[in-house]
Amino acid sequence: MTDLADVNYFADEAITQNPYEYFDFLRMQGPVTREPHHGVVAVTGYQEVMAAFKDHATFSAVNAIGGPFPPLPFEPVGDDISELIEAHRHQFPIAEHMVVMDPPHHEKARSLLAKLLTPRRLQENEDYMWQLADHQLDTFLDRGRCEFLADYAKPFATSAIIDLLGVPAEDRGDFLAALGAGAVKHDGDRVGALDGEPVGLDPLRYLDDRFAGYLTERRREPREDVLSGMATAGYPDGSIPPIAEVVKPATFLFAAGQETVTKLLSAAVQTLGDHPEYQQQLRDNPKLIPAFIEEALRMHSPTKVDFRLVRTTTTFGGVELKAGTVVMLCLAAANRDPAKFDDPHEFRLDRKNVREHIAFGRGIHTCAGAPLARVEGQITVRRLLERTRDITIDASVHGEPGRRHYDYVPTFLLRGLTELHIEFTPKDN
Amino acid sequence: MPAERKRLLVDPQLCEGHALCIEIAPEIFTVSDDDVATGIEHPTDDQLEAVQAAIDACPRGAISITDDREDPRP
Repeated sequence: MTDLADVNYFADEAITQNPYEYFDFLRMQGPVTREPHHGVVAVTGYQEVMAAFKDHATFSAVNAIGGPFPPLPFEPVGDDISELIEAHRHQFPIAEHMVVMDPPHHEKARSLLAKLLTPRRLQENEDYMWQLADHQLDTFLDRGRCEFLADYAKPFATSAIIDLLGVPAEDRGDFLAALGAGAVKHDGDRVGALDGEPVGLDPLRYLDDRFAGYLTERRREPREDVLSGMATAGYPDGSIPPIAEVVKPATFLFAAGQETVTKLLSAAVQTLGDHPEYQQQLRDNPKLIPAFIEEALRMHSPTKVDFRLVRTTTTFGGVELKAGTVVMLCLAAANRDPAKFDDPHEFRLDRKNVREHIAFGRGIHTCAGAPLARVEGQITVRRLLERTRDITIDASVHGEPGRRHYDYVPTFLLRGLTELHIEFTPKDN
Repeated sequence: MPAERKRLLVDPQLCEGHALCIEIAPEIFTVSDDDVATGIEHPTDDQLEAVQAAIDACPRGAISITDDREDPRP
């Protein structure tokens, strides 16, 4: 058995398959504790992760995605590295995206996206989302079995965002193929891979030209879609952003919404298969589906960790953190902190505080697409349950109940199944 | 004796209309057409638990509650 104290979280494949025992081990050392291989300080306590999210003056998001990779482009000197961060900001991975920006630039960039994906706005698209779910189910339902990620989750997640943004019908095939939901295989699981390779500078740069074209058209002639909302949005100071600055949030919405939603949907369906009692319960009472999705987010947080860089030397959770320390906020650990959630490793439909999970992060950087992810999850579970009976995990692939085997993506960043084979009886319409 | 009560605030700059507060406590919060939530200004004691749940769930940390001492004397 591996000694958990020696684990290299950033390279250990076994830990990617079951990170929770390791997170519990870390939390037992202290909610804020240094790991031995990269000197990264792991935050595993719920309260501490919340506090770090809130304190964006001390914790810069400049390294949010890459964490220790690549190493800092400068040598931290002194107890305040604000100037060094700003001088080298452009050298950090995906520096052009809001996820790694700090105030005040972050507020400006985010304002272009704010309020475009609210539950109220999404309700206007709900009919379409239902049709989309049904259309995707139609492609395999009568087979009585499927590989849920390829047959449903990936194409559904991609189509939902393509439609919502307003990508023209004639371009959709290209997008689906480019994003791996069509025939072409892609490399989305490279982000957070275990070989220490940094995130590409901008994995979706090739989409920028397309989006620049759409946004220019919509600035001229706005329509009823999210791209039009972005194209016509002004900055809070009233100025009109150049198209190039609107392109980045548009492509990022794509990047962030594919893999993560696929992972949420497959975790939810895996839970239905492994806990058949929920199937009838949710069929009888669809009002429970939102809580079911929230609990799936808590238990199987698709983004395991989020990084910050200590800007000014501070004492945090009893640990002195020098300016320049890389901090790893372990969302998946915080969501299973026993001080916050009773029986944290149990899936429970009746948690009163389930909405307090932080699978989407918190504060100024909280996931802007969260309302969309929630709706996609709710509609998927609802339509799947309404159109099938007896969903089971395919034992010929994953093993019998109690001896199941699932493979998860081997990255330190994301948590999700690589495949999910299920069987079911289609219901007569 | 000055009346002691609580004042509920939703920061309109921070709120992005994720609407979890409305799910948790529809009797306390509403969301406007421009997707900013507002709450009852002075929640009653028996509403405070729901208010706290909304504060704890708000993705943006936009909700707060403060003591609001109102002195009725001129």
